[in-house]
Amino acid sequence: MSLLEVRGLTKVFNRTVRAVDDVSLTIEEGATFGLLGESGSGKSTLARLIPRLIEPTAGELYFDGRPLHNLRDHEMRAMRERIQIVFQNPFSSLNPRMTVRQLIGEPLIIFGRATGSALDARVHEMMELVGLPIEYLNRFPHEFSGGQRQRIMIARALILHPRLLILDEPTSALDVSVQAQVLNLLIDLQKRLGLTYLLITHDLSVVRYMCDQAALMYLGKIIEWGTVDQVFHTPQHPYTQALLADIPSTDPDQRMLERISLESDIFSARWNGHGCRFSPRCPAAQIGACKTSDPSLIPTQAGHRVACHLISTDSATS
Amino acid sequence: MAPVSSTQGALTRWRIEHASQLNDLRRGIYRFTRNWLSVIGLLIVVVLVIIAITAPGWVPYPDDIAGAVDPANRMKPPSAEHVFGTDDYGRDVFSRTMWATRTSLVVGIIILVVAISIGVVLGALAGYFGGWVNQVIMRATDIMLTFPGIFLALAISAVLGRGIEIAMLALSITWWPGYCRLVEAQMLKIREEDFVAGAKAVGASNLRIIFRHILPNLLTGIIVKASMDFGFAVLAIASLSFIGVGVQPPDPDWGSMISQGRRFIPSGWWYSTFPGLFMFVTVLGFNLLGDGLRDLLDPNATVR
Repeated sequence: MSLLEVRGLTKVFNRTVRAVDDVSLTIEEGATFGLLGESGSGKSTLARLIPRLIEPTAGELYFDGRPLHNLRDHEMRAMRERIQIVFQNPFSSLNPRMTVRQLIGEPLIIFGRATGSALDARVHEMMELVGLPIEYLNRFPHEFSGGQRQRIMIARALILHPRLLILDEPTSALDVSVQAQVLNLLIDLQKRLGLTYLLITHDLSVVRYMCDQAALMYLGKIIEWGTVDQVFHTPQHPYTQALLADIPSTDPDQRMLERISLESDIFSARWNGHGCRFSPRCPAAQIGACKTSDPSLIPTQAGHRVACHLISTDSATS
Repeated sequence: MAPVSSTQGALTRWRIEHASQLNDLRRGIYRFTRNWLSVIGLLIVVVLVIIAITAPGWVPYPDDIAGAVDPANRMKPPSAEHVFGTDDYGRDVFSRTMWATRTSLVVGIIILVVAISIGVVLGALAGYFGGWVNQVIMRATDIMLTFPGIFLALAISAVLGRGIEIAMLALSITWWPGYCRLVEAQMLKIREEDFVAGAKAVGASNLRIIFRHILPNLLTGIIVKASMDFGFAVLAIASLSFIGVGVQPPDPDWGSMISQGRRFIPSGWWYSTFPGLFMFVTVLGFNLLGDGLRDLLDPNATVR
C-alpha cells in the first residue's frame, strides 16, 4: 500500500486563484518523490496542503490508508507526528527567540514523548545525527549559517520519528557548496531511518540525483509524472522537453541544436482558463483541442502519465 | 587545568553554556550606553524606584504623610529643616513629595499591568484568528478609543465614587486599546511567518503558537510602548488627582499637591513647584528610557 495518496486536491485562494488544481499522486513507502515546478506553479502550496497547514478547498488525502482530509483539528495535530515538513527558507522558519535545545526538543514536549534528561538525551542524539556540535545547544538561530539552520530544521522534523518528510525546496536558499552537504545528509538519513520523502524543488538536477519518481507541476496541475528515468530520458510533455533542453550541456555542438526556448514566464503568459493551461507558452505545433479543452493526466506507458493533447491524440490514432 | 571547586565549576559551565546570551547582553549594554540620553533616562528611573522603595525608611517627617497638622509651621519657605518648605497644614512638602513617588509608581504599574494583560490577550486573539473574532474585538477597541480617557474616568468615578482604586480601574479600561491594536497589527504580520507554520507542523496547538511562539517575538514592542506609556500613566493619575477624583487627601500625591498648592502660587511657590518638578522628571525619565529601549530592541526604528 502506498504511504501517501492524494486525490483531486484543490486549493483556491480568494475564490479565483487555483493555486493547486485537482492534483492526484501517490507516494510509496521508502521512496523519494520529486515534485518539480517553477515559481508560482503551486508546489509549495501543495507541500502545505498535505499536512493541512493550509486547508484544502477540495480533495482527499490518505496517509497509510487512513483518510486525513476529514480529520478534526485535534486529530490532525496528532497525525503530524507522522508527517513532518522542512521549509525552504531556514532564515525564517526557525523561531528567533528559541534556542537550539528548545527548537529541536519542542516536538517531543508537544507530544509528551520525553521530559527532563530523557528529552536532553534525545536532543543530543538528533544533533549528532544531523551533524551539529553539542556545544551549540543554547545558541539562537541567528548565530548559525543557512546550512546549519537547515540541519536544525531537519533535526526538529525528525525527532518525532515521522514516516513522511516533506521537503519544500530544502536547499534553494543555501549556498551551492552547502546544498550538496544537506542533500547528502538527507540521503543518508533516509537510508538509516527508512524515511519517505516528498521533495519539492525547481532544480532538475536535484531530482535526478535523489528521486525515484518525478512529477512536474504547471499552474497548479501535474502535467507529467513518471519514474525519474521516464521523465528525464523520454520526456513527453512539451514543457518537460523544453526544461530538459534548457539544462546547459557541456557539449558545444549539442547546445545550440536542441535547445527549445520557452517564451515569457509563468506569470506573464496568462492562461485565460480555456484550453490547455500551457498553450500560451507551448513551443510545439498546436492542434484545435489545445485551444478548447484542458488535457487531463493520461497514462502513456507503465507508470508514465502526461497531460497533453498532442500525446493523447498520438496514442489514440496509432 | 587547575582544579576548581564545585560552585566555581557550575558557574563556569553556566557561562560557557550561555555564552551567546551573555554576548547579546554585553552588546545590548554597549549599544544602550552609547546614547547618553537613554542612560540619563535609566538613571532617573532607577533613582525614582529606589526612592519609592526606601522612602518609608528615611523621610524626615513620616507623621505628615498620614495627615498630621502643625499650624505653627504653616507655609514656611524651604529651609534646612524643611528643604521643600511646608504646606498650608504645616506638613513637610519634601516628605510628602517623596512618599508620592510610591503612589505614582505603584499606580502606574497597576494601570499598565491591567491594560497590557487585557490588550495583549485580546489583540493576540484578534490578530491570530482573524475573521469574525477580529471584527468583534477590533470594533470594540475602536469604540473604546473614541472615549477620551480622562472623561471616561470622570464618568466612572461619578457613578462609582471617588478614590484611587476607581481612578485606576477607569484608566486601565481606557488604556488597553493601544496595546490591543499594537499586538493585533504585529500578529497579522507575524502569523504568516514560516516559523509559525513550522510550529503548527510539529503539532503545536493554537494557544501554544500564540503564547510560546508569537508573543515572545512581540515582547520588545510591548516593552517599549509600556516604558513610554508609564510616564503618561503617571500624568493621567496626577490629572485625576488634580481635579479631585484620584488620590484622596490626606494621602500624598503629586497631582493633588499641585492642585492644593496652586492657591498659594504667588507667595508659596514651593508647594506646587516641587511635586510638579518630580512629575516632570518622572515623565521625562520614562520617555528617555523608552526611546533608548526602542533603539536597542528594534534596530529598524533607529533614526540617524
